Amino acid sequence: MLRSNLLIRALITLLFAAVCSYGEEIAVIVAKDASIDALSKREAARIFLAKTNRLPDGRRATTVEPSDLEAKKLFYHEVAGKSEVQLRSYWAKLLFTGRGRPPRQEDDAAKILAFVNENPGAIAYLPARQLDGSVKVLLRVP
Amino acid sequence: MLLRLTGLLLVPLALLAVDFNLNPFGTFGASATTSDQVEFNAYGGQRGGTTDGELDWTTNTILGAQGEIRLTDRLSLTGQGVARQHGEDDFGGILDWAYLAYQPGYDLTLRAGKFRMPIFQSTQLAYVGYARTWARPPLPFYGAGGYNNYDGAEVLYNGYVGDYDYALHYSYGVSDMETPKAPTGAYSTAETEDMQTLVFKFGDPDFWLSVAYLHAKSEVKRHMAGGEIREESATLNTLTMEGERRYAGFEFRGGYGKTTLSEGILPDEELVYLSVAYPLEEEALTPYLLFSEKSFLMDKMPTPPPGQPQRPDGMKESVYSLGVRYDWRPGIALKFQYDRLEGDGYELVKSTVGNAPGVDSVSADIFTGVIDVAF
Repeated sequence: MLRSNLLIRALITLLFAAVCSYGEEIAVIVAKDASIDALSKREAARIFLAKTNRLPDGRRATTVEPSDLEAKKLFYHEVAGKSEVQLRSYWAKLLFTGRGRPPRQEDDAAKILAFVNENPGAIAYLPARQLDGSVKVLLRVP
Repeated sequence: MLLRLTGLLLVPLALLAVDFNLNPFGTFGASATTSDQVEFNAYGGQRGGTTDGELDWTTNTILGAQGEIRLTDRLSLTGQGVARQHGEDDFGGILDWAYLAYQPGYDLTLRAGKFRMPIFQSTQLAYVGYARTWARPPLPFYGAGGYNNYDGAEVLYNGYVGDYDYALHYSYGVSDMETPKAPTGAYSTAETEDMQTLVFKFGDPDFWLSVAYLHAKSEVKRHMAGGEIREESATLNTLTMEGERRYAGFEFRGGYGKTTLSEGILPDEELVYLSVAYPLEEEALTPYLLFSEKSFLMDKMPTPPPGQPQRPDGMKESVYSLGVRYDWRPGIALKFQYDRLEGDGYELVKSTVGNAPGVDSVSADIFTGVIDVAF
């Protein structure tokens, strides 16, 4: 009985780990010396969906995101309630009416961290485990 | 002139620009219709489309590209060109729109150049099939008062109040248009000035509503069947509403627009479309229903003189569509759509469906399969 309970718990744990392999935190980051300290989900959605190009401190926002699809799915689901397909449709509409472009994409976390530190107004998101101490975290989701 | 200048600037600037983006897009596919009464065309002004017993590969097909050159942080040049079938054995390219954009403030944008009419989202995305759920734009003619483009300037402002985003869009410009020829040979041309459009859009991630108002003054030349030309002027007013709501997994969408012309020199125009879609399988598969209707209301127009063909009170084109979109890969969507088209009062005007002269009411079943791509 005990053994079967342990087995069930182990299976549930494995299943949960598989389903939530991307259940890790996503962090929205800016350069360490940026004058903003926090961002709401709503503000993050407006910036990354190109509804504004201004950071709360008044600087022009330059958005960067990882090309990792799972990180993108989780981030936009959390901040804007949009699925991957909805997001593709959203960008197609915005892009082809000339009203905005998706964030710049980088496949390497180190490049994103470097870009954020080197460009005033740069804002990005990354899985929290990929952060180093060089950036300031404004928001963590979920 | 502005457009020519923009076009001339585009190529050398693209070569010099540090930040240049090119996004190609296209639609490839075929249509077939069961009716021998009609010739099915996919876009306004297109001729030589699908007829009975023919699997037509060119009517829906479009190749296009959009280029953007960022000259500075605040200044950019954007344009979209397409090649498509215009008439039988006539597949050609046009620069559909192109403008210079300047951002003096963060949420404010000023633009000058050639634009698509901003009143319906489907108007602005007319040629980019990937950006819409359906195989074709929902409105048979999707401009305003017959206009699809104009030359001029725009001011756009984006903001938010509480949980709602909003956008204000004001434009001022000029435009020319020519109506399709009636079987009698009669047609009209219009030169429009002082074309002013105000659009207000607001919403949240699950909902948006857009209201637009267009006011313009037109100088209309009516080329009569006998060769006589009548010159008249009129004021054109268009009011439109369009919206989308996601609820319980469904996507509801609809739009309504009415254009009236003073003096009754051209028909008033009424447009409506309603759509419901239900994304399945992690939203890769989206079945949908779509209804769209366009009416020309001719009751205010003067009665033709004796001896001339008498016109009906109105003309109506209704399309009932059933289809499915499959998002196969990022940037690639497959669509299959069945349309039941019914038209009344067709005797005088050729519309999306060009009918045989003398046929007043038409109906057709149209089957379409397309691949939309955008990169």
